[in-house]
Amino acid sequence: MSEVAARIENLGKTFGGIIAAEELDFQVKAKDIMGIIGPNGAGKTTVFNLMTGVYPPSTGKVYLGDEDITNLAPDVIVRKGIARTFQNIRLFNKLTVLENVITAVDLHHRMYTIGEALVLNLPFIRGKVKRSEKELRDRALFYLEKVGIAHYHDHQADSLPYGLQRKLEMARALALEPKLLLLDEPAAGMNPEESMELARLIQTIQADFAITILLIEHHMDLVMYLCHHILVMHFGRELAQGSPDEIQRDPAVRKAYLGESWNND
Amino acid sequence: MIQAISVTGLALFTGFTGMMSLGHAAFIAVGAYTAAICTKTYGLPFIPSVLLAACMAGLASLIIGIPTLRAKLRSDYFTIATLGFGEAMRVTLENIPITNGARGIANLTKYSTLPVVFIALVIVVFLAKNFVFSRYGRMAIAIREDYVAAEMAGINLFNVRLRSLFISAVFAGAGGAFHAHYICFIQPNMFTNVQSTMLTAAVVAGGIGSLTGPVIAAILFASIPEILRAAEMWRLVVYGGVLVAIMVLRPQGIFGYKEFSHLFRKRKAESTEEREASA
Ligand SMILES: Nc1ncnc2c1ncn2[C@@H]1O[C@H](COP(=O)(O)OP(=O)(O)OP(=O)(O)O)[C@@H](O)[C@H]1O
Ligand SMILES: [Mg+2]
Repeated sequence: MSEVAARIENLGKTFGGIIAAEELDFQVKAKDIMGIIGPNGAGKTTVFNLMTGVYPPSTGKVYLGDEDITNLAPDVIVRKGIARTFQNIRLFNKLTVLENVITAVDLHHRMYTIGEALVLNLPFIRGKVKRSEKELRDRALFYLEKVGIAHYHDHQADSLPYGLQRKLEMARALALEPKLLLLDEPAAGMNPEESMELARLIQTIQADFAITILLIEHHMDLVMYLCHHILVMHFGRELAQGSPDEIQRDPAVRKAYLGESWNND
Repeated sequence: MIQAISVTGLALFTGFTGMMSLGHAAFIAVGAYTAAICTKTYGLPFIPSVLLAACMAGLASLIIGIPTLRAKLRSDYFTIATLGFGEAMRVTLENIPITNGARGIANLTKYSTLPVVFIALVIVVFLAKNFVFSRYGRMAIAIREDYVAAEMAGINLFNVRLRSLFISAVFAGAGGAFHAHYICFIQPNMFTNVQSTMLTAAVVAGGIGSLTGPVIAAILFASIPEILRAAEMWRLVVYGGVLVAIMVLRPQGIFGYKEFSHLFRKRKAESTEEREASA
């Protein structure tokens, strides 16, 4: 018997007249890597937004473990243990790479109060605030090392090349110490070699931090390699669900994906 | 230089949370009146009066801040709300007995001498700098840069924004207290939206995301009309001209996203980059 990290029940979302998601039911097994695939506009990102409280669902519920987290605010959901990355990268551009991660480390390691920050931070004296900041830096560096961009720590976030910005987003999300990590198209814009390298990184992260990962991807080889369970979405609905083998053999999926690369071999 | 105290307050809010306030004159007014009433009516010493003034301005910021920031108004709507708040505060001051209405309060003792104001400015800049370079400043900047990602990093938008507004108003209130005891006379029409706009102009011209820049800009802006006092009616034109020139030549402001103290560090970082690039 395996534990359930998250459960989605009858989840739906409409924007005006557009049905972005409808009647979705699925479970993410604890410590598993699960994938969501589907054509553009299928509603994949909408599912992430509903799970992280960006907007409330029109119908249905989201559970983290046994806890109902539907309608909670994003910052509360993060505290409960869901972290994510964004399809269109969202970094704190004018902060350095390291500061981006420190912002996240800070969530579970707040080490000084506002009074201490205002008054005790005297020049030339190594007080509590400075020691705390040093510890935050060290913790943040650990996550940067994990994703392999520690040597860029001093750079401004928006000066990084695109691929490394995605890794920085992953480091920032990991620093929130989540139970469930949501990755929205982590391999977007990568060539096949780069995306397989990323797949191995995701595996390492899953194992080292013993977390559950749910990811959205268009790179089929990456999805088939990484995921044990896959949800296929089409026009906001579930088209199929199952193991990579089952998905690849599913006639409905083949039809929706006709012409996609992994159908040809 | 007194102006610079209030500008530091606004710079801390606008520059680091990315929200524009056009109502900061209201906080200056609250500070000025509180301090004036304390020293004149109740005969309190100057320093406790300044502290009380700062607290009252802080409280005033909660009145406008809690409803608007909780509603997560888009930042342009928030700006309009502050504009209305500024106007409402001026009208209130004109119509309640304790402020002596439109006639104002005269004959205040001149406590704000140059050394006193200078020390106050140093303290305010010290506190503001500590705020900006702490986790609290970092959270504010994160929100400014991307509030969706900030929220997803566990940052509570309302708390951080309200805290920044509060501290900003406290500084503005202290600025108001010093101002009142410099010109020794206050009346409601000194604290108009024009005043708020001037503050914002100093912050924008000095550079969003910087403390040094706005402080320098505030001192410059305050001295330009002194120099041009003869050409009284032209000074606003000169203001406008200087602002337009800065916007065109340096849209990020004189010190956008930088501090004076950073120039050296930045240069060092750049030269290491060059070395890496050439290697
Ligand atoms: N905030 C919104 N307001 C209105 N419509 C939206 C909003 N967000 C998403 N939609 C619509 O919902 C549908 C699903 O969008 P979603 O972003 O979830 O698709 P997706 O599967 O992530 O697509 P892609 O592969 O292109 O990222 C689309 O038709 C989109 O236009
Ligand atoms: Mg998407």
